Amino acid sequence: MKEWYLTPAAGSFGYIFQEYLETDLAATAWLANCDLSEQEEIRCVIQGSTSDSQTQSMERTGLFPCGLVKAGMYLFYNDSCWLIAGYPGTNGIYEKAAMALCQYKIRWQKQNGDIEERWVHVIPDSPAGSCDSTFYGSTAHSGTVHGSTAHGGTIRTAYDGTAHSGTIRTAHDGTVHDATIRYSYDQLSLLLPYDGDALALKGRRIFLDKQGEMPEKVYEITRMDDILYDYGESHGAVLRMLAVRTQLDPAADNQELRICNYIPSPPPPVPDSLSDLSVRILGSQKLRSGLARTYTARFTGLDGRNIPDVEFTWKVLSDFAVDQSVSQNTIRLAVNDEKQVGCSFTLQVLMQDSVAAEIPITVTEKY
Amino acid sequence: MAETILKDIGLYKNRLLTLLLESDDICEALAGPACTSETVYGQDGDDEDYGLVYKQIFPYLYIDETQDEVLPYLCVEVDVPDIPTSAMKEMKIIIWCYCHKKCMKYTKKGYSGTRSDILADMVERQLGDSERFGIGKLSLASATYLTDVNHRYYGRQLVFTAADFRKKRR
Repeated sequence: MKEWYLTPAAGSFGYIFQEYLETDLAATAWLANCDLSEQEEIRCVIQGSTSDSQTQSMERTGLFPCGLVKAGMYLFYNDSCWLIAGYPGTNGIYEKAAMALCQYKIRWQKQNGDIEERWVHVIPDSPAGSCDSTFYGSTAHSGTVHGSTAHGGTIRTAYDGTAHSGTIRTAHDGTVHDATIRYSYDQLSLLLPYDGDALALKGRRIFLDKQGEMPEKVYEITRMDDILYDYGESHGAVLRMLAVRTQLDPAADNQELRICNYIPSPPPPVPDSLSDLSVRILGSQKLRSGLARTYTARFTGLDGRNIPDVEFTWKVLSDFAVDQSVSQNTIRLAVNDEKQVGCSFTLQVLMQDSVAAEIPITVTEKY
Repeated sequence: MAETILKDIGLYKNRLLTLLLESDDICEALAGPACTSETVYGQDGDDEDYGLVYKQIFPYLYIDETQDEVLPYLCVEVDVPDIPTSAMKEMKIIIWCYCHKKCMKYTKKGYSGTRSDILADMVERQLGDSERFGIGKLSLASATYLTDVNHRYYGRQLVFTAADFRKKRR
């Protein structure tokens, strides 16, 4: 029989939870901010892992040390990404937050050409239980549901013809009506972290398609709930978006990159003079006798960006035979004479008849 | 630079390793069917990566009793057992083809036996016709079994002999 477990004075029960986190009942996970630029390994307790339904299987509850998490953070564990979607509440011992499984990573391009990515929780936007995003001003239903046809009748819409019956709570008066709805569009509801970059998604088109390298399913963000799940600065926020199926534009959408309205970045200009250019030869300074090795010339501008298509020539300064094979910015060198082990030669990059970069290379034993 | 008799030991080892690595069959028997050029020769930019050499092919007799990985190995050694005349020397090449006993089963079209038997056969085929060692072709003198102290590894020791000039002008 265990002795009495001594607990400290009231108000400091947090240490019990800390001890709990050190047991096998807790899990190791990675907590990350919205763009994954900051990540931290943490210990936490994941509840609800044994679900009774498909819907529940995409939901978890996390127990964390107080003050650690905010809505809109990501938690990576068990090879999955989870979005902290609920208001994190605390009882003074631990902090509890509801999490939703992220199944997809959306991509879009900012005005400056930078590509942004966010993991999102995607659910079908159905009438039952999700009237807020379905009926309030979305492209699909705004014209019909808010009008008189929504009440007590059949709503016929165009896209997939699927019939849904259920309880509809309409926008204005809250009256409950039974009706049959035919969707006009394929609609999805997305949950993702609330941040400035994601807010700019309204009206934009995104790919929501995991099929192969050439996805085709494109959706337009027609609605954005930026208040619904805003829990305040100290508790974080998540955005809920309504995505409505729209057409792929092969001329503007980059299927390989999964970015709609893709703006190709212009190639950086070739600097006018050598002083604006940094040249490096990448490759080992040891060349094993009898084996070929690749060396690459890398040109970068003052801003650090790589510059392709620079005119230059390779030169090998050597007293003995060095096999050379040039392909674009690379040269493959080999010394096949065993007698040259221990000898050295110089590899140079010549630009405008002057040496832009050079490295000494020593021939070493093959093994 | 003064020429020595023993310089050929290192030279032979380098040539042996090169020849063994040039055999796709040997590399596949050692590293599996997914064997690539990087697996065999090491990554291009990595000075410390010698590929299969020093992992599964050694220029000396290597049996690591503490090794947990179940792998086949090839080891190479070169002796100068006799210098009979002022012009000639005898060269002896010893190649150990051995495997962990858990990876003895191996199948390859055109070969039969255990993995170490097949490896030994592959080595003989690869070296048998080579004229890069001494004067004329190598001669297989013996192929006897070997095992380690703890009986975890089993294999075959091949001994080739060659006659070579005592000193060579290079």
